[in-house]
Order: sequence, then C-alpha cells, then structure tokens
Amino acid sequence: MKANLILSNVLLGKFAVLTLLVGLVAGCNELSKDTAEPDPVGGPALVRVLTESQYRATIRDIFGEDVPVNGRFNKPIRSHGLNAVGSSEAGFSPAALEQYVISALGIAEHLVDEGRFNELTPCDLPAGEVVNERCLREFVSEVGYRLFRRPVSDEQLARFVSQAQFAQATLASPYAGLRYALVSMLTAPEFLLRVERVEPRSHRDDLAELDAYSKAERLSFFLANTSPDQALLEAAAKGALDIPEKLSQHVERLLDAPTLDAAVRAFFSDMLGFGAFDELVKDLDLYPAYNTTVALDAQEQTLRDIVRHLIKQNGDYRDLFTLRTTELTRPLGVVYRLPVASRNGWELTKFQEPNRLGIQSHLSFLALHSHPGRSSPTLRGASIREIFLCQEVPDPPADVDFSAVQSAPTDTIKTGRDRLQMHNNEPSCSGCHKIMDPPGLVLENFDGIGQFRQTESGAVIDASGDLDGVTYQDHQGFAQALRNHREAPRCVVEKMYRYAIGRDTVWKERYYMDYLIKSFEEQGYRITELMRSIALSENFFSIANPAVAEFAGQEEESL
Amino acid sequence: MKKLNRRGFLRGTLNGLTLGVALPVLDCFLTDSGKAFADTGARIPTRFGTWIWGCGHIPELWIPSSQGHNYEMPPHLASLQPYRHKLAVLSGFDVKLDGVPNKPHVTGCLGLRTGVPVPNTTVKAPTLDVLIADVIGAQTRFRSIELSTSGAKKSYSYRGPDSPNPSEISPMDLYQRLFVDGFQNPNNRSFKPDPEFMVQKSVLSGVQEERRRLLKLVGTGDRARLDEYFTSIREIEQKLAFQLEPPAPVEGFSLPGAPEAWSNDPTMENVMAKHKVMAELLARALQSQQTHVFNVLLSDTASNLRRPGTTSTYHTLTHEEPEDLVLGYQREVAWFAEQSMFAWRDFVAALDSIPEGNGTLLDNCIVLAHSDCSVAKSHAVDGIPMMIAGTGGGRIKTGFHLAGNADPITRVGLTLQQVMGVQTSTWGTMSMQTNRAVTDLLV
Amino acid sequence: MIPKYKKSRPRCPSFFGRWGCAMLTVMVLPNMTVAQSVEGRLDFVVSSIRYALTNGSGEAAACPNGVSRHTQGSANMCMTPQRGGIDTHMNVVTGNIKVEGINLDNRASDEDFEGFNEVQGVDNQFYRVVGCTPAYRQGGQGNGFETEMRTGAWGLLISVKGVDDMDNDDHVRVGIYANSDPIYLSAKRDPLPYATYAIHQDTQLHAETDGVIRNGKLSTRPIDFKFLSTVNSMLVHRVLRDARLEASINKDGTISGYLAGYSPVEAVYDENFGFRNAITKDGSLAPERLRSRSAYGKSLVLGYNCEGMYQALWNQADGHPDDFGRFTSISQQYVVKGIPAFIVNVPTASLNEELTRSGELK
Repeated sequence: MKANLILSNVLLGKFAVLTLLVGLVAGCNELSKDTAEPDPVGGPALVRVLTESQYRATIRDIFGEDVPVNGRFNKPIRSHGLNAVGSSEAGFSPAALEQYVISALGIAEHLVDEGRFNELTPCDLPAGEVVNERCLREFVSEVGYRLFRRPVSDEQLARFVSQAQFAQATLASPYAGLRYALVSMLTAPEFLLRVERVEPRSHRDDLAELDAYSKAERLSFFLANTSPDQALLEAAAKGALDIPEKLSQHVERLLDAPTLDAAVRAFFSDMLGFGAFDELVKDLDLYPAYNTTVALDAQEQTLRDIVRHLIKQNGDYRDLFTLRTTELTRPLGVVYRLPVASRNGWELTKFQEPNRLGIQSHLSFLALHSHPGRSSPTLRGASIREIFLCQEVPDPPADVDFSAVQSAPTDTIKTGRDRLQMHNNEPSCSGCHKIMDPPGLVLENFDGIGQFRQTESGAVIDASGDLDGVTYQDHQGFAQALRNHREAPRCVVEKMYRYAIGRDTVWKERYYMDYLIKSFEEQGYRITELMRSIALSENFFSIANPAVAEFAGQEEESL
Repeated sequence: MKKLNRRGFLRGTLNGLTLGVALPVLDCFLTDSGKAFADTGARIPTRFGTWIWGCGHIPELWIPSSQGHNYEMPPHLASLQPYRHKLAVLSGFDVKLDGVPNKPHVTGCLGLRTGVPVPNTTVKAPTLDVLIADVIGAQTRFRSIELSTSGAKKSYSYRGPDSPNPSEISPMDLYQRLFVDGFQNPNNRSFKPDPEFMVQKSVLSGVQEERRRLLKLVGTGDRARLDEYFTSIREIEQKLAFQLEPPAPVEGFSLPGAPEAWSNDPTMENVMAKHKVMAELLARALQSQQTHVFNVLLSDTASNLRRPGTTSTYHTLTHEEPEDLVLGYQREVAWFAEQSMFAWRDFVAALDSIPEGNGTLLDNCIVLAHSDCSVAKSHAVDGIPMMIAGTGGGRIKTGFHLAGNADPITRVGLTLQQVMGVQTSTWGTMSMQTNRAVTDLLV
Repeated sequence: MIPKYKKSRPRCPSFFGRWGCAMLTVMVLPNMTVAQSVEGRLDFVVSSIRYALTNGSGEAAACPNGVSRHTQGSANMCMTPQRGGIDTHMNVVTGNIKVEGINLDNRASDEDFEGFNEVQGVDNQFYRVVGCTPAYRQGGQGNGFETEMRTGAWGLLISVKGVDDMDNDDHVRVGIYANSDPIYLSAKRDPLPYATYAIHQDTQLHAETDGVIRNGKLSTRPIDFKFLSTVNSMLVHRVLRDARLEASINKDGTISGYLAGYSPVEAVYDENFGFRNAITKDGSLAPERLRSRSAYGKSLVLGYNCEGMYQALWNQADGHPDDFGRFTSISQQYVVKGIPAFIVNVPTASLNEELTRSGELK
C-alpha cells in the first residue's frame, strides 16, 4: 500500500478526502457485498525464519519450561515496518547457524542430564541398554512431527535413524542415539525455517492455497506465536482445516488459549519496534535515571498495558492512545515520578500528570525515538506517523545541514520548536517537517527518556499544533486526535495482516483491507475480533498461482 | 505407546532414573582456534585464567576517559601500551549486593567470581574458573593451577563453600609440582579424536541430503537463502573436521631451570620479582599443556603488600592515608596501585613472550584480571576494575575500553563462560542474574 | 578508669531555641524541579550522611597536645575497654576551632564550640573525642560510614506530613525511619530522586515527632531514635536521644541540615569502635572473633586505641546525668542531606525479600 506515502499536509488532506469519496462510492455500488469478504488475492508462498520468541516458545511447549536455550540469536531483519516481514527475507550466516547448533546441543544435553528422554520416548527404555531401531523410529516420528510441524518423511526418518545409530555405535552412552537424533532435527532446515507448501484450489486456477500443515503453521504462529500443537496437527492431517466449521473451532480454541497473550505481545512488540532497544544509548550525565532495567521494564510496561486493555478487558484499540491506567515497577516509578509500593514486580497505577496518557507517552516510545542526549520532535513525529498511522515519511535530503538543530541553546533558540523553525525556512526541508514535526512537538513536554518537563532551557514549551486538520493545545488534545484519526485503525489492520502473512500487502488486496477495516470498525475495534476475521478469511490461506499471478517472475527454474 | 505430553515432561524423571552421563565438551569446537587453524593448519588449545590484584584502583588514574578502540592509555595502564590491542579494559561493572552485608575485600571478589554476593567465604556457587575448568580442564594433568605471589596462602578459586583450591606460594614448590613430579612431555601423548565431534560432523553433513528436495519447493529468491543455510552448515562441518585432527605439536618448549629459594617477605619489590618468576613458570606449564586453567593471586584482596622500612601495609594505607588535597587521591596507595599494574604487565609479557602457532601463547589464552573492590578505602564493590588479555585463539575481541555503566558484573563472567563452552544461558542471582553477554567482547 | 564528674546541666535541650543555624550548601541535582508538596507531604531519602566535624581549617590548633595514635603491638582491649590502662596516645580537642553543628541545649557552655555562620554554643563533644585522631580529620577515613549506605546495606528516610506552606508552617509531623530498601543509584552512582522506599518493619527503628517550618527551615521537637549501619558485614545500632532535626527545605527539592542529639556513651562506643553488640543480618550476635578483630583492625588502620576512645567518650560526656550526676551520653551530630523520594509502608520480612528480578525479557 504505497499509496500512503505523503509529501505534504495539502496532499494528505486531498488523499483523505479522496479515499473517503472512493469509500462512499464503493459502498453504494457494492451494497449487497459490503459484509462479505472480497475474493482472495494471495501472494507468494514464503520461507520464514522462526523468530527468537517462536523458537523459545516451541522448545518450551515440546520439551518443558526449564529447558535452556543457550544460543544468541541474530538481530532480526526489519522490512516494511515489521520484523515479521523481514523474517521472509532473513538468511543464516555461519555465525548465526552456529548459535542454533549450540542451542541444539544444549537442549539435548539438558534432556539427558535431567533423565527426560524416558518421557520423550514413546517406547519403554530399558535402563542402560542401547535404544533399538523401532524405538528410535518412534522417537523421530513423534518429536519430528512436532518440530517440523508436519509428518517426517520416509527419507528424513531413515536419515535421522541412521545418524542416531551411528551415534550409538560411536559413543558408548545409552542415550547417544536419541541425543543426536534430536540435535539433527533441531538443526534441520525444516525446523528452523517455515517453508510454506502450496496445493492447487479445486475451483480456481488463478489461485492456489497453503497445504493443510502450512495452514496449521500460519494459524498457530499468528494466534499463539508458537508451533502448532498436537490437536492442530491432527486437524491438518484429517483435512479438518479445509472445513469452515472445524477451522472456526480451532480459531476459537486458540483465541481462548493463554497463548493469545504471547501472540498479541509478539505483534505489538514487533509493530512498536522494540528490537531497537538493544542498541539504544542514552547520555548518562543528562539522563541518570536511565539504565538497562528501565529500558527492559519500559517495554514490558507497554506490552502489559496492551494485553490488559486489549485482551483482559477486551477494550477498543483506539483507547490505547488515551489510556491513563498503567503498570509500573520501582525503576520506572523513578522516571515517571510515581510511587510504586511493590518492591519487586508490577503495580497497577494511574498517571497523575494530565498530559501523560496513551502508549505514545510511555518511555518505550519517547526514549526509543529520541537522540542519546535530547528529545527529537522529528523522530517522534515520523514514528507517530509511520508506526501508528502507516504514513511513510521520506528520508531527509542527503545534503541537509543539521548544525542549527544540534547547536547549544542560545538567547533565541531554546526549545525543540525553536530549533526546527530553522528547517521551515528551507524549502527542501519544510515539506516533510510540516508533516513530521507537529506530532513530535506535542511530545516535547517529555525529555529524551520521557521525563515530564514544562520548560526547556528556561523557556516554556509550546506543545500546541494540529494533526491532519485537528488542532490541539497540549498532549491531552493530541491523544484524542490520534485516537480519533481515521488512519489509526486502518494502520493496525494493515500491520496485523502483514504480520500474519509475513509479507507486504499488494495493490490488489486493497478491497480485502477495506473489508477488514470495516469489520474492525463494526466490531468496536476489538483486536481479537480483527485476529479472528483474518484467521477465518479465505485470503489468509490463499497463494497466488505463480503461473498467472503478478509473482510470475519468481517461477522455478529447473534444478 | 506413550504420547508426547508436556505435562509428562514437567513431572520430572518418570522412572526415578537419573543418568549421570558424563558429557565431553560439546560446543567449544565452534569457535576453537579457528584463526590458528587458518593460519597454521594446526589446532592449539585455548587456556583460561584469572589474575587478581588486591585493593582496587585509583579511578582517575586507571579508567580511560573515552570508550572504544582509540582510548587514551590512562597513567596507571601506561606500561601496558605495547599490549593494548591484546587487552580489553572493562570499567564500571558492579557487584550488586542486594542488601547482603559487604565483607570488605571478600564479598566483591567472590561476588564477581560466583555471581552471588556472600558476606564471607561460604560461597554459594563455584567460581567461574572452576566452571570453565570442568569444560576444558579434564584432558590435562592438572585441572587447574593456583598460585599466590605475596606469601599469603590464599586462593579465590572455590568449588564449594569454604574450601578454596589451594595456592602454591613458593616458586620452588611450583616448579617441583609442574616440571618434576609426573611431568608429561606434551609431544609424547597419543591423540584420539573425540567421538562426539565425529558424530556431530556426521549429523551436520547429513543435512545436505535435504538440499535438493527443499530447493525444489521454493522460488528463486528463497533458493539463495536456503543455499546460504547449506553453505553455512558446510562451514561448521569444516570446523568440526578440524577438531578431529591431532593437536598441534608443542614447538620450542624447553624445560625451565629450577628457581632459587624465595622469602615470603611481602615487600612490593620482593613480590614483583617473585611474581615474575612464577609467571614464567606458569607460562611454560601452559605452553607444555600441563594445565589449561590457572588462577594467580598477586596480592591478597586485603593486601599485605608493603614498602621496605614502613609499618603500614598497602591495605592499612588505603584506610589511614589521607587524600592528597592537591592530587585528589591517596599518594602512597596510588604507588601500590600502579605497581600492581606493572606486575600485570609482567604477567602479560610472560605469556606473550612464548611463540605459539602464528602468534603467541597469550593469543591463545583468555586471562581475566580483576580486583576485589573499586576503591579500597571505602570497600566499594561497584565499578570493580577488570581487564581481559588475549583472545583465546579468536574466541573474543580485545583492544578496547568498555564502560559497564553499573551493569551487573556477571555479564562479563557469563560471556567468558559461554565463549569457553560452558552451557549456560544465565548466571548470577538476584540483581546480578543476567542472560546478557557483553556483545563488545563477542566475535 | 573512673569518669570524672562535671557540673550538672539541663538534661533536655530546649526546643525552638535558635533559628539561625548554619546555612548549608545547596545541592543541585540535574532535571530536578522545585519541590512539590503532594497532599501536604514531603518525603526524602537521606542521600548523604556524615559526622559533623570541622571544615579542616585550623585543625592543627585544635590539638596542641598532638594527635592520637595506635600503640603498635598493643593488646586488643576492644571487647573490654574498661579494663585498659590510661591511653597515653589518646588526645582530644582542647584548642579553639570552629565546629559544625547546632546548639542542642540552647546554652553556651565552656566546652561548647563556636559554630559556622555565627552559631554559638555548638554541642559536639563527639568531635572533641575524635578530632585529634588523623582518620577523623579532613581527608581521613573515619567519616566513611556512609559508603555502606550507598551500597544499600542500610538507609534513612525522612517524611514531613501536614505541610500547608513550605516556608512557614506552625505544625508539621516529622517521621524518621530506617530504610528497608537499598538506595536507588544512577549508573554514575548518584542517588536518584523520586524512588520509592519502604520503611523498616522494626518499629524500634521508627520515630515520629512534631515540628515547625520557619523561613524554609524545618525544626523538630526532641525525640529518641535509633537506626542501623553496617561495619565489616555486621550491623550496629546508632542511638540518639533527645535528638532534633534542623534542616533547610531547599528550592531544588532537597533537604539539608543537622540530625543531632545525645548518644549513650556505651552505645556510641559500640557503634564506632567496639562493636561489642554488633549483630548479623538474622539479628543474632555476630561471632566474637569477627567483632573483636573488626574493632581492633579498625583501631589499627584508623590510628587509635579502643580503650583510649572509651575513656575519652566518658570523659567528654555531656548529657543525661545519672543519679550521681555522672553524664551518660555525649552530644553527637550528623550532617544530612536528603533528596525527594516516595515513602511507603509495606510488610517485608527482610531487606532481601523479593528482590529477585525477572525483568529480563525473552
């Protein structure tokens, strides 16, 4: 949806009006169809790398809570504003793959140390005896089924069993075979990569769809952020996921499961770009209250508020921008200047400062989108637009002169607004800054890590401005404007769908987007409803037939 | 047939059977001397050691004013200038007490080494050298060698509470132990490849069978990504193949001569000279692979070092000497602090003077030097100074100064354990519990 | 050694005596706004504490008889200082020198000091005792007990409730409590404002009294209280009787001033020199060897003899005379600074309880 690229306020205004008109016209013409899902479009089948949280959750689900994961995971690739889309582009360097080997060896070793193989093995293991072939086959079949998210093929089975037997013959330890069968599977591409498989659709030749196990995989990683459980795999095996009622039962089951929290956390942590916290640096002379605990707790605070509001309370997504209730730890209390009685852990509390409301006023947003030594109205403004409104802001011109923006305060230039004023006299800058700055300047009441302030360099901060036509005097007004911005729900819908399918949306999918947005609106902007709509839609499992779709360029060469 | 059942896993051991299978090193192959192999075609073991000096540092004379590679050598580290590219300077990492009473000179030292602050020597976890020796120390004659050069028969290497691994305090006894009683000529040992590595190599090479089948499933763009995966697997296999080769023969080793008798006089001068002799003996022992792990105590943490003709020891000086109002620190104390760094320089030089592979013995070591406190007069355990010398054959990076900014000091111990092949994802307790390695050290 | 008698003086220092006590340096913290009284309440955590001594000038004149020193190779009398012979290496302050502190008894007696900023009649006999020991002179280590407060081993909280006007208020309620949480520091080791602290659950370590604010200066009624500090991994009690807090409430949100009172002689000996009743974290008496060696070791490195300090403390005592007119306590003053904090009262069994963090995200 590149159409959201905006260059000026004027253009934005026109675009909004235009979209509105198109929407109205479309609504009249397709009155009878406005609640039905448009015909599926589909994109290419993807090869996605398991994310760290998905890897950890899978290991935990299959092998237990206390199994250590010792590898260090590579920094994810971000694409189209989501690591989930980047996961369809990431590869494995030798250094990255080594970490998975280390992790696999550690998991297998732990299971031996803890005597767990007895429970993992379908057959009874006589103590101290070499595990027989039948038992090895059963072990590989069962564990491989879970790890690969589909049945182990005969060739794979033969390979893993023969490797296990080689290990048994070479090493005189009773569990060597099981241990190395497991290491083989944990380093296999079928485990580390989600290779989506396609099968034709009976009644359409321009469209294909995911095979049953790939469907189960997409569903499970989307709604639970972990590998499919036994029940879902069984449903796939029986073809139940092709039957709408059965599919619906599984979707409901996953939406009711405790894993939904993890799925919602994974999505928002991705959307909010929390991965960037790993590299965030703050000047400790200017911000003595900032430390790694604050950085970690700040992310957790926002995710807790999101889960509490959206899942536990089934709240309106848009209210995240005006939420005053929050949960804090003592280190966060220092920065927010609020008492936190709980000595260790989280305490439900409420922001007292009138202008502190909404997740955009959390440290996790304010600190992340600031410079090491000062706040940045530009970074914050651009992030408000890109993260919450899906409006792309172009990169600055290459020859931009930052000296004025970075200079020390003078008699006339004291606040962030004063500094940015310099840009507005520069035609090559002013176009974009007029877009970026207002939603950033309103956050100037929060310093480079998010501490509240009334003044900067002695001058009172002017937080007023307008957001795409709605004027406000302070952040309270802005939060309302952001909450009511028509692009806010549209944006989360688009991002959620991209996240679910692992790729950017294509032009032809705009009607499907409109459909999702409309249902989201009708359902009171409930995030679980949106997830349900996506999971149950035909588009979700559809794959463009490579022979006819716009992805024809990617057709296979002969090997 | 039993079903896979997560609850079953959580129940613990099903038949009450717990197997104590001794597992050899599983993963240290991954970064083991890859560089040495590339350069010389020979495999050289990585050694690990710690080097402790008592009574901390004078921050204004020791902490570099900037971070990164281009830091200016501070006065007390000036003598280490020739080795700066082989050295990582770590300042500002804390032992977090969490309210545990601070037993001066003990809590900080053992907190750093065990990840758990204790108000005495009743350690609650093994020290990190012991954890690492469990992984790399089994194949050598000595699991580890401890020595103390100031006459104090002390050691900060603990497997369990109140039972330190005892230190050698006499150069003669050290010589006797290393090179006389039961000395093994390293080149006479037979080599048997570790069967674990053979199995691991076979496991990884088997993956290639999937290649053709998987490539058929995906489009052109994804084919390149899958190819990267299979190429990376090949590279790891090659590293494993390297582990199946016999280790490099020890070259240029000659038995050192027996040292003379030394007094236990803790004057700085005597200790410096004795330390040098013991460091050279230790270096020869490391070269000839009598041990792969060591712990050196230059001076006890409540240091008994003194200057000839004076009654006060280094430790008492830290408490009784007033700050020089012009300098802003204690003048006499600073002298001892600087001498301690000269001794560290001597130690680094002793390791670096022995050629090994395409570099030196030091290049194949990782030595963690640390003190017991940051500022001795107040026994502060935040910002305990540390240095790491040697890259362990390319397992870590050196050549920079990193400020810890009050992060738990356990991050360093965790990193060193991980690069030395200890299977652990977290280390330390309470505020010192961490799962975050120091990424600046990682290759 | 029999302490000599002195002229009897009023036992309790009078309240609301003088207003003109020493002005103290205003500590400026970055990013700190003007202090705000939330619901009439000002909470502080003590961020800095030390004995009130001198500012270093004229120290030589204070000790015409020379400085105290440790007798090399002397016997360890620290557990039984009353059995020691007269310590000829002990010297106390006899010369003229300005001393930090406030006038506790609203009198100017012979042994009182002249204070800074024209304060007269400063009662600080503790300084008289230690002032000729080099470690307690400028740049010395005797005043370093705050270090362990910074490491979180102990701490003090001050709350001022019922504040209607931060400059002038006829009645406020002041609480002084032992802190059960480690002080919260920045990465650069500076105490951070606006952290939350729980008061210690041992009510013996709580004290509450009335006070007034005049021209921005808080002054309390006399009160008995005690708090904990640590030495060599042991806990010692610090006891003050008829103590007063006199402190400025500064515009930067901090508080600074004196916490001063009379410490019973045996208690002041134990808190500083003898450690005879020092306890471990679980409240039991610390091992004799640890107490004895710590006390003797301190006397060695700080340069005095335990028995000499004990004798001097009794000799210089100036408060709470017993039935025979013998003074049993000695005036002792602390210079304290506090920064804004939130004080809560939550049940907790120990300093360490529930401090384990799980904050590292997966």
